[in-house]
Amino acid sequence: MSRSHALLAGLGLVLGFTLSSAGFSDWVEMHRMFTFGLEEGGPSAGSLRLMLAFAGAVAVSTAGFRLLARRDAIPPRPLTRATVPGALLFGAGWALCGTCPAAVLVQVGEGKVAALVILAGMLGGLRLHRAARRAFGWRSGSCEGSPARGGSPARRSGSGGLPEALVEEA
Amino acid sequence: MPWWIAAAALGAVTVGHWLALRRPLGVSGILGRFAAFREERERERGAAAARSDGAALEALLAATAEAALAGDLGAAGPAPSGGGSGRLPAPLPPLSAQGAFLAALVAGGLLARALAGGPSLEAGVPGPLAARLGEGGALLALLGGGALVGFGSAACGGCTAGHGLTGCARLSPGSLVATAAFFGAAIATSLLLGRIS
Repeated sequence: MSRSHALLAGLGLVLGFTLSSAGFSDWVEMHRMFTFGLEEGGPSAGSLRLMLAFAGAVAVSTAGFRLLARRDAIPPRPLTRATVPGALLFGAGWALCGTCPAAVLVQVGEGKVAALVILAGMLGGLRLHRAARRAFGWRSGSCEGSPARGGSPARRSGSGGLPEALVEEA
Repeated sequence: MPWWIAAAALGAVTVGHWLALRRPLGVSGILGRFAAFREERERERGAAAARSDGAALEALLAATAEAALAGDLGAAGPAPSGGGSGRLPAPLPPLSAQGAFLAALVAGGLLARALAGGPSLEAGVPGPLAARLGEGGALLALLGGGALVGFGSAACGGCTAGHGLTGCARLSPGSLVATAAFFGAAIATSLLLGRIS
């Protein structure tokens, strides 16, 4: 158990508790956020609260980074050719299953059995992208644990196909 | 939980993650490593072996330099090693630490449920989804939706945590575009889903 183990466990616990308590792990609450409560007669404090929580979190983080960090020290996330298509797929899936990659684990902790189906789908999708990246020689735009960054040359070159067809790392 | 407490807590986690670990918060990337667990574990072991090889080489160089100095040969000595890159982000945390993070997310959900009147096992799919698509259709939507989330987040390089919180707060162009795109797609999909009845 190192320092990073303890820190990550603590941060994960706070994140998981917050997502659950706020309602980010609830399909109905998420659907209300995405539809602005239009299905129940229009926007209301109840239907806008998750959107406010998210926007507020971005505002708090922006202020926090300004005050406590050098902004240029945080690695930027480049805009690539895969950003928009990838994000559109992500958004459609997010609305269907009602959870982001963090909230699905929170749901497992809450005892929601159906979350295991979502989690299986996510792991499958992530594996599929890894395989496609290798087969078509896409470069990874991911910031965490992308083999393309420090990976072996053999992995980097892929097996022909379309070189850098979708993603290019800036 | 009131929205503003959630906002403060999520912001604190986002900024705290960077300050504590010098790594941007991201969940989909970690999940991606666990989706290919064996491969990632092999890679980590390989990297550890390379590091210890490097350390051995460094020790050898230092010993050689010392010997050279002792022999008054005036050797230039080995190149300075390590350090000095304080502004670069830290290396990837070990898989086990990232696993602890995922386990803590599960524990967070369990804790919240326990404090709100005890944990309960919920079988079944979300009601409104089942009402529109049927039980089987709803399960398929959950599985397919999850797959889209997995593939899409890997393709666009982040998820709601990495792009939505960290990236937007850092004003990364890629994250602002990605967040606008995934929120737009989610809103459109939800409104379309509402038309099915």
